[in-house]
Amino acid sequence: MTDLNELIILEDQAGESRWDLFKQKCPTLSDWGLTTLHSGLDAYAKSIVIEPNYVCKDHRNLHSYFYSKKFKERSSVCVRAHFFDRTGIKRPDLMENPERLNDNYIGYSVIRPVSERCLGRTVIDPYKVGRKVKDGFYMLRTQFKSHLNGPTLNVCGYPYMSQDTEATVCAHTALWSMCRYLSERYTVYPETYPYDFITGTTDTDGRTAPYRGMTYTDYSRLLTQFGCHPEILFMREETTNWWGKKSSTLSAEKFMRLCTYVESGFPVLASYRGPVVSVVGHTIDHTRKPKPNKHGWIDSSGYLKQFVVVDDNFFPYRLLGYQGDPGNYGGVYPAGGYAMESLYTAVCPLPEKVYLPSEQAREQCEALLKTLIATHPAEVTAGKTNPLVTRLFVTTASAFKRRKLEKSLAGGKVTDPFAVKIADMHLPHFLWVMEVSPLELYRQGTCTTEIVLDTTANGLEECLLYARAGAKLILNNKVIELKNPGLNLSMFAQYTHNLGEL
Amino acid sequence: MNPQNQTEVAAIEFDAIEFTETPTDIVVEAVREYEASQPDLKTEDGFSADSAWSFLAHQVVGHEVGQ
Repeated sequence: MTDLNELIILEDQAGESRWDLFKQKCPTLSDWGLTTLHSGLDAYAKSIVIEPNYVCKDHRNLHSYFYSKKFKERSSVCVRAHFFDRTGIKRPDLMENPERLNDNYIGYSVIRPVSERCLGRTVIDPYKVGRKVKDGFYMLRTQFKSHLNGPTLNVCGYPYMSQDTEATVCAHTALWSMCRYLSERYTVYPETYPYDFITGTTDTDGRTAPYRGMTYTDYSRLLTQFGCHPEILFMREETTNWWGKKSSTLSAEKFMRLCTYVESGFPVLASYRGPVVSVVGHTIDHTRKPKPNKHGWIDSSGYLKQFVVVDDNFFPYRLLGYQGDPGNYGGVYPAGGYAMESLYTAVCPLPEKVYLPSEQAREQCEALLKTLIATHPAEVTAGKTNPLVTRLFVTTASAFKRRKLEKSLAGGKVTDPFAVKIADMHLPHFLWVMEVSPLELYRQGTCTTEIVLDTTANGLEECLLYARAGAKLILNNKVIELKNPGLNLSMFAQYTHNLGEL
Repeated sequence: MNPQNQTEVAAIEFDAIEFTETPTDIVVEAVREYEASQPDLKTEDGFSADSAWSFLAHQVVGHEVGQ
């Protein structure tokens, strides 16, 4: 027998909201699932389109290896709900030229036939739920395709799934999210399914299913098998107060390293020593007054206000703030909750060819910056007296060159000839980049100086590829200047490709 | 180039770009400074003291469980 899979379109009706209708049409949607989706989408999703029969590859994988072995039968078929930001959608709109609906498409959520934590693979475009760059959100997104009985819709987001509380725990879902983001974005990574993370968990602490917690050694092993080269940051340091009492606090140095990797566009698995979440971006507060370092410079992490996290217990894209931040989502957890200060470990899935760790890249950049300030003060400071802000990140040479050219070429004319010079350089796959700006210019999104290192260098060899201070480019022990008069090369745009832009 | 003596222009033709080059020892100075800032941490067994300490610290921290 062949079942039908006729799409169901839900909008508010007299006396019944679209959410009430959603619950009626989708009996496997638990109260928790409905509340979670409602909390993040009610203000944005004006209509919901339901696929009553959807074979989700991720749930089918869990079903094959776990749910099919249970005594009570449970379907392997899910429901999928698609969310749109407007009303008036008709069935012909979904069947003919659905790409016309892409601008209205917020994303989708798979509803699994499991107990309570029913939200399966979910991709929501943060830009369509109030989390755009102009709203102060800098975060990872990548494109996913969804097919509604054939026709295709596109959504850009970070994948989310709730733990099902039987087979998977929060760490499994956070790892799944990270790996699915990477495999969807970069062809070098294989597609991985939920049960792969259960079988990959070490069995030295006993059986791995149902529902067993994981350790950072499991995360590291699984990510290594997946094809990443993780760096583990232990975020705590022991401090002693005036009365000799020892306590464990968030290490400022490790926090800066974590921010460097987030700024580089790597999703990071972060643990509060209990819940595990994915850190997928951040917000900024330029009014903060961070303490300068020993050189008098401020690292851009000092202006970080909150991390954007995907925590499987909540609708995606929550904000993890410092203690006392009213926007901090973590306060709702019991026993005082969690905040930025609760970060315990962070696992950063680096690409293979980032051999030079962030702390050594930072030291090398800072040594060069000191020399540049001594030799070219006017170029570095651009005549400003406010403190210098440094911003360190990794990016690919191809993306870095592309963005420079996009910002410097128009109609066959060149606004910044150094962009052309840099695009002509033979550079490695990945680069460490330190941008430097006086605070006033940093707030305006521009910089005066950049120092670019080879990520495959070791900490004891010279790894500088080139440096630029205003209108001077330092390359192969030569200072290169433009002969053509009149162009203002004293500052250039910050590189912002790592977070948000596709 | 002295900006005070120039009229600022927004863009130039691609084919008109011309650069000048002058030797510098800026990088050499920076590398010397960096190397001078690095304490010699090598020990006889091939670990640096720093990495050996990190290794031990990891053992002490132990496991934490994500649920």
